[in-house]
Amino acid sequence: MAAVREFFGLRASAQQPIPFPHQTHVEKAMLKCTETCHESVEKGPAAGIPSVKTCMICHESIATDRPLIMKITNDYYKKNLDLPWQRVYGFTPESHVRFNHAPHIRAKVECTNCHGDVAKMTVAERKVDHSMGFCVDCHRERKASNDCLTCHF
Amino acid sequence: MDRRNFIKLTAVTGGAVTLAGCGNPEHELIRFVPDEDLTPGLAEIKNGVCPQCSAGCGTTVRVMQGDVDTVRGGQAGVVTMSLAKKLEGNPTHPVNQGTLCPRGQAAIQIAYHPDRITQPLKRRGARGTNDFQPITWDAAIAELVGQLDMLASSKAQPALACWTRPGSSARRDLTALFLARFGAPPPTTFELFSDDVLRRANEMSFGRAQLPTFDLAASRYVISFGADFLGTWNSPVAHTAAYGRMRQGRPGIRGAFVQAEPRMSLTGASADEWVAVRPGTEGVLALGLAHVIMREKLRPADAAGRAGALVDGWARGLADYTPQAVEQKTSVKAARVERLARELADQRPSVAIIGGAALAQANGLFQALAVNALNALLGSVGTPGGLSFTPQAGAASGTGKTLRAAAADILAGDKPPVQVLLVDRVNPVYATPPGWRVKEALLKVPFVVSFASFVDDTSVLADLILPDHAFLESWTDARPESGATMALATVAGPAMKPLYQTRATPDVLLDVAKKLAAPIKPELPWTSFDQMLQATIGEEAWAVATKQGWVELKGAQGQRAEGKGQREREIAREPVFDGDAAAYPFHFLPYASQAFLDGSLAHLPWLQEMPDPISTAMWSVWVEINPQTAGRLGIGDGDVVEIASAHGSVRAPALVSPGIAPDVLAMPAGQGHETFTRYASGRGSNPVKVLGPSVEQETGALAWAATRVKITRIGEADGGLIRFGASLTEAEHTHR
Repeated sequence: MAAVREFFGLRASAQQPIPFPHQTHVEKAMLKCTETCHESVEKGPAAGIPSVKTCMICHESIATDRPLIMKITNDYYKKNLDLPWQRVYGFTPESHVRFNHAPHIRAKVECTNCHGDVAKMTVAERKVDHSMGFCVDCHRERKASNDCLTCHF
Repeated sequence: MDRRNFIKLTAVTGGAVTLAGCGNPEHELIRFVPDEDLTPGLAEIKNGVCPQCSAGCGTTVRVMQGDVDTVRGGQAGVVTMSLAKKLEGNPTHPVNQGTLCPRGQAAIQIAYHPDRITQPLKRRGARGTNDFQPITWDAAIAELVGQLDMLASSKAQPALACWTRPGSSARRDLTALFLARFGAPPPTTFELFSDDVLRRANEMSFGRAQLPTFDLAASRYVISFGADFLGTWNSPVAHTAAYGRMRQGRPGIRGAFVQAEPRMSLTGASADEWVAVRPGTEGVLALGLAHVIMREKLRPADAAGRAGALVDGWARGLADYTPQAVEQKTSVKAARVERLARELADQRPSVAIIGGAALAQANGLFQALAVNALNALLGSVGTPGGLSFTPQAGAASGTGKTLRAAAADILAGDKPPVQVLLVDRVNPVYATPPGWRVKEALLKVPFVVSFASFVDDTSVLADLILPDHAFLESWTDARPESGATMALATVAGPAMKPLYQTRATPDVLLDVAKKLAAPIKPELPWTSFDQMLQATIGEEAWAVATKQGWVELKGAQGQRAEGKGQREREIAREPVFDGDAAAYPFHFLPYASQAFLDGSLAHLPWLQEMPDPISTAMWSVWVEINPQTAGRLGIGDGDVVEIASAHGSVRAPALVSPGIAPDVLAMPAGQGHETFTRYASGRGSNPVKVLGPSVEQETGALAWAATRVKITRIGEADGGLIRFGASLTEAEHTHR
């Protein structure tokens, strides 16, 4: 039904190359969302998805005997291939939305507010529906602008 | 469910069954590890040099992270990298002043073209069959080095030749240096719509062998003889900016503009007055104007100085060019000649411009000298509102034989004087008349190397293709010949990393020079092209150049020198046309296309899609014909016609247009490539293949407006003429 979803301006649900355990990285490795992996959110409009090079910063020496780590090392990193991560959230071009993380970070909106509690998930799933109503409600609550051109172009 | 979604859903249900099988397209992609650390969503603005013509405009390049299809180690996939997204004019650049023409805007498609050559290719099948096999760079360089070593060992260094495009740049200097130090003759430069005739005329009249720069912004009256200076000629972006100021930039003063040409160009369409002058008589009209000005003593006759002395009869007030005599030759009414002359002299500063078809005649030099003399008489040389010459730094690289002579030499003997030929950024097989026999000559050269990024009509005949980077991936430079009041170089570094296994041609030459069995002497002191650029520009200026995308060059030659004021030999005063007037009753006028210029840009789909500003036609070619003539011959709009000269024929749809003289047929250049990517191959026809081989004698430049033709109606409209807004059929939309 991918074509139908696309036609209605809905993103297809993501299919990831490996079941990346967010929970392990946040709870056991004590990593913060925006420190190593989604670091661009502090610098630019998009959070970014890390390349396999980022994985290897730690996994060159940590947990190298686990099957999934061996898979990303041998099947991807050593072949100069990147993990084909797919975006979980995001707007389709047809929705004409230009989203910028920066003002939301400045307004101290928590990651979980829009992305759900990813820290408790293995593979990130779309738990929050980014409908226009969702955005508008929050904007109204926080007295942010609800002018069309704030989000749409 | 609202109405809109209901309609969408009904539309979808039919297609959904078949489409559902496609799955998520992102999922199947192979991704390569990115080489750069990037911040998604943040744009960076870098500098660029527009590669599309020799005007040398500076661009800005918007660079942002993105995904791009690429090939790594023979495997196709996707990589995330910094990508050039949009080109605009560099706001600080003295030539284009922040603006850019549509051809420049479309240059971004060069980098992402689906038919780019992605790695070195070696010919496998017969020449011209487009049967190449990919090879590594090491093997490719070794191949070229081997060929050059063979020449050197048999003391046959002069048998290396290079065909390239004109225009002043460090890249061309490097090519010339490489050839000279190897022991080969200087490169042959070629351009279909060449301005060499005007350069020669300016050297004779004003002592400067270059194209003029016009201070239109301060002019009050401009008359142009055939020069499409707002569209395709000389430095069109600079002219357009200045023209805008001339017409609307001065409160209370709107400069007047008259265009004299047999076919209405984009520039002619902007004029206050359009004068349909007979082809090859533009110079006569200019001298008629000068005659009236001198007769009425509106300007002192001696103001013309040495430029005037070059024109026979100037001292006697051009007695042969009375308005009545001019009317007979040019078909411009005597009263109109009188009026235009008075306006020119009264509304100074005024300036006359000559370019395009007026120069492409057997008497092109005479015509240019006539207009130069008129400008001198008007006191418009080196003055505000007139013409001047952009100072040039350093000596121009030497130019070798003309292409026509080079081809003739190759065809003359049993053993061709050229054994190894380097072809860089020219497509002469497409852009030369059949009488020059360039393709035959190329086939006779034992080893042809091309640096092309695309397989085109010429590179398809090569034995080895060493693909150049796209301009956005390499160091590029240009030294504008005109369009500015100071000597400058436009310079830019790579805006993005190379997408494919290509190499910058100057770097390849530097590499080859070092790998020869007997390395060339004196050695070229640089290991890469940017080192050479830096060395020629100088350390201090380099910092400025890399920051703003251009730099003023010091030590430039002064604004103006004096001409010699005398001719070495007689020059042709009368136009000579190829073909008998009875058998071939029409003048044939090919012209530089607004989209493709001489055809070198026909591979860019944005330009194919761009409607021609006069005819609104796109993706096609046409023959412009006057409504009276068309009526007389029973030719309707869109009908297929055949244009034939003594040298060849082409077919194209007719476009009935009032903006053309009744005895002239015109056709835009650019289409009709046999081989030039999926967008241009086999599309339309090529007017150059009708042209006679005649040249202007002094310069050897092709007289491309001097052929006579006949026209025959072949049949009904076949849909070949596609106009903007017309509904396109599926077939027309499908590219091979």
